[in-house]
Amino acid sequence: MPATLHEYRKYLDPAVLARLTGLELRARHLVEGFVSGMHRSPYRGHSVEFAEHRKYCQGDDLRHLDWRVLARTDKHYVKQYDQETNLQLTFVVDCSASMSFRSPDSPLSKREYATALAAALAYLALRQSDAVGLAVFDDRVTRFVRHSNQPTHWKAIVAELEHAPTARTTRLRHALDEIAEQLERRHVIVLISDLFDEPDEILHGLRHLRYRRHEPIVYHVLDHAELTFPFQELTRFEGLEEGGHLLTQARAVRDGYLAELNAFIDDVRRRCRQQRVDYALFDTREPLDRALSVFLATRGDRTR
Amino acid sequence: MPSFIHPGLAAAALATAVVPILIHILSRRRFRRQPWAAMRFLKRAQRKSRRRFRIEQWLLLSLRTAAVLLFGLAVARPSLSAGRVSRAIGEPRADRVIVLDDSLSMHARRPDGRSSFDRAKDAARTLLAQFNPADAVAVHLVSAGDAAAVSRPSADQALAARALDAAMPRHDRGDSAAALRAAARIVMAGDAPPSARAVYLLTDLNHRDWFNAPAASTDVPPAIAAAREVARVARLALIDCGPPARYNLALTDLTCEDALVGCDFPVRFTASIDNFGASTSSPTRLEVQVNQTIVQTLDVPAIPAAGRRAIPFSIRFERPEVAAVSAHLLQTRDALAADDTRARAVEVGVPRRVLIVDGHATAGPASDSFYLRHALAPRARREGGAYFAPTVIADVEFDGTPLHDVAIVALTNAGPLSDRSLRRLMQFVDAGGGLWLLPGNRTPVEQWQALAPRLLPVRLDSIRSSESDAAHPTRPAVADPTHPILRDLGGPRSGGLLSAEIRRFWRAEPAPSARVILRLDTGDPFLIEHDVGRGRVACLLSAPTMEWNNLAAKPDFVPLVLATASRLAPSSDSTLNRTAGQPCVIPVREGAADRIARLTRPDGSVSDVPPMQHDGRVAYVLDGDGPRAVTSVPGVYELASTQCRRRIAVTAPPEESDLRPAEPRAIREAIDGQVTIIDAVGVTALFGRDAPTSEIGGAVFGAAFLLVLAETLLAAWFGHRT
Repeated sequence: MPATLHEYRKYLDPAVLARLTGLELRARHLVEGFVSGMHRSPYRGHSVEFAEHRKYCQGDDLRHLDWRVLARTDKHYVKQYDQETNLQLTFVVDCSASMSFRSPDSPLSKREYATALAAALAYLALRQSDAVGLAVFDDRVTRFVRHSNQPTHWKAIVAELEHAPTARTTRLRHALDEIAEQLERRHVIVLISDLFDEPDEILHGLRHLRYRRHEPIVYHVLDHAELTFPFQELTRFEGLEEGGHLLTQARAVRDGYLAELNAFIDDVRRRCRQQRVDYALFDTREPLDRALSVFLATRGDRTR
Repeated sequence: MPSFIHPGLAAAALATAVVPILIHILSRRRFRRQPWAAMRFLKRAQRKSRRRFRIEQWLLLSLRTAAVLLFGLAVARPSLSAGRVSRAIGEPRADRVIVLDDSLSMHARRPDGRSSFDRAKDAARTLLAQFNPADAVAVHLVSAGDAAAVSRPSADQALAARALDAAMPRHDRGDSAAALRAAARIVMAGDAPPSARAVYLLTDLNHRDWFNAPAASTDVPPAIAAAREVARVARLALIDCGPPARYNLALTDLTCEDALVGCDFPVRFTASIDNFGASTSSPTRLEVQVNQTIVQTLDVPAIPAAGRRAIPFSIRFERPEVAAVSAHLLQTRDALAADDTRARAVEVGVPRRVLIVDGHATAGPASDSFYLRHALAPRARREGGAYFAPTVIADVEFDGTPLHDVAIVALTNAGPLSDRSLRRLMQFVDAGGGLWLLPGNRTPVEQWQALAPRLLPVRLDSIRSSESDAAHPTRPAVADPTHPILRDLGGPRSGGLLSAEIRRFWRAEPAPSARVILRLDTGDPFLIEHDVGRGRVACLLSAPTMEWNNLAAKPDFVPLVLATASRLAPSSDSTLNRTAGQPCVIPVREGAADRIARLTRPDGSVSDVPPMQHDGRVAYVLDGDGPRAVTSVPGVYELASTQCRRRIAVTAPPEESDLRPAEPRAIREAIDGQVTIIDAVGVTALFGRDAPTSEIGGAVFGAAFLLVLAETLLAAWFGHRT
């Protein structure tokens, strides 16, 4: 274990994270690393149950300033409370064959990146007493973990993420339909996938979730090579999901490929915006703190 | 159609052009495997860009193939026949060989005094000035024949100009056929393609040069065959530099009619004069000189066109010496003056030593060699009257007798000789000596049979005599009336050779190579000769004694002996009389091997000639065609040392005197190829017709470079380089 919290920062780097074996270990280090670098203010919630005082920092809401302490000691302290959650969080993680792709330059496969992200977010959520559930899918939901806000629940989630099999193709619509029907209360649903499905199908699934009054958040995870297509020579591309292969001069198709991919991403992003679904694109070589920040920001919006 | 200097490289270039295609095909088999998730985007991109990609690939592959092909073709040095396009893109360049006729006939002068050779040189200089500076040029002289001084045309035209300036007309015979073959070889050694090769022969276009007697194996005259050879590999231009009027009266021969030249009797000479003109010549005169002193002047009557006149004359020499007789045609006013004079060197009154090996060497008529010795050396009236100097030795003395100054060895009834003596005899004859065999009753048959047929002209069988055979004496008969030995015997006269009684003779079988000169009326051979090495052997099959025959009693005996001896004695004629350009070798007498001789040329210039080893003996060697070329000019040369004084007559080759021109049309038809025949005046016009091809290697190389550049830019633009 690292000696200080500051040393956890390095675990935000996927390259360093990849050296840790075990998803639990990865997620803990990831969260600790993220937390150690955070601004102090927004970590604690602002619920009714007082937790502690801390020094006022620039940017803190003046509403939480403890005027009594100020009057008595002439020092600025803000009051912090243990938040009582009303959030139901469901992580929907794609474990299809395409998620197993990892380019030579990437430290983590898309699945490893997605599971590390899901586990870390779950850990973070549970520490804030949110109820966390998990659904793992490929062309359908293959694993489902009920919701709970017990800290011990995290291990169950991690175990499912670790042991979920990789197979089949991505059928987002089926999986999201299944989840939408299964969840009765209003949930924040974090979808972590490469979204390699037809945009119409994806949109249909998200629309279904919205129809059931859930609040989906889309974490679009792509490998760095998929985003940049760094290949130069004659290459035989062998499909992970669809089967078949394609022998082509990589340089010759690079521009066309990137145009197609970017058009797809833009289309998905545009449709998500139309459906008021938060969307974030992640590169597997990108440090994971951005994902955590996006999550916290989104969570803040949902709880305010 | 372009042609190539290196067609093999062009073929290789075609083969090399396949390389980019092969690389393309092979590169399709070398690829990396990449598992891939986002296949749908890739497939869509591939579908959209497939057609464009294929077009790009084909375009790039075409450019690469064309570039490789053009690079290869550029190395093969292509050229196009002259045209606007080729001139625009290529550099006109050709390989050219100027063949300059420097033979004797090129001395022929025009009325303005300029010789054919002067015109040829001027025309050659004009040609050189007309050539493109990039052309490679070689100059070849006809006198050099097949031995070219340069192996290929040189781009340094100054070299050719210097060779032209240094060229001088010679006095010997030119071999146009050999020179043309050499020119073909030179021009083919150059880099230019056949269409850009040219050979220019500047000559007087004599009919003799082009249509003289062909070799036995072919019916095509050698010069025509050589010209065809040139025309197959290059453009051939024959430039006529000869005089307009080809009238020439030439002294083509001067011969000594007598085999033996002494001081006692007049010696007969014949001068042959040929009229090579188209009309009858005017009467003229012939001046005869002996050692540059005029001794007589003779009238030469008119000679019809293409006719010959023999002018006989006699000279009585005053003293023993090597004399130079020369004849000069006066007031010929013909084109060629060099052949109006002719000389002949003759050895006068120098007795040739004859070694008689006698098996019964006693004094008086009892000796087997008595009559022979006296017939060889009749009592001379004064010095220089004897032709031969006989010495008689016994057969046992032969081993110890030196042979270096002996002209003839005569074995008269000699007994067996030692093996060493036989070897010496063999070497003596091989080196040019004469051997006269007169077998008698002491002749060792087995030893003679062992010598036949290498040395002897007959294989002895047995002695036949009229006493033992109870036969009437037999008589000689002429077997070969044309033989030189019988020429002066006067035919079958009573009391002459043919009335002699032959009482004993050896029956013998002549060797296949032997010539039978006299036979007996029994049909048996009597006088036989054959050649051995450089010498000659004769055999009279009856000893010259009264017991064997009464030949010595006949008036023809002495002429027969002298004629036979002069036939056997090595002639100095070929040593003393040479054609211009031939080397002359004069053996040095023993004891004088370290003496430097002084050579005086016809023009009066003098130089020293040291003795040197030549063909196993010490001799003065006068170079005929080497760097010194001391006997290259016709006339009388005098070689004098403390031991001897020799005159050498160098004559012009008579065939060069025939200046009659060949018909251009006949030459053109005979060559049956592309040949241009023009007069030297029109040599500049030659370039109107003889436009060289343009070598476009540079342009092709440039095009290949542009293709590479285009391929690089396009590949970068298309975004793929393989």
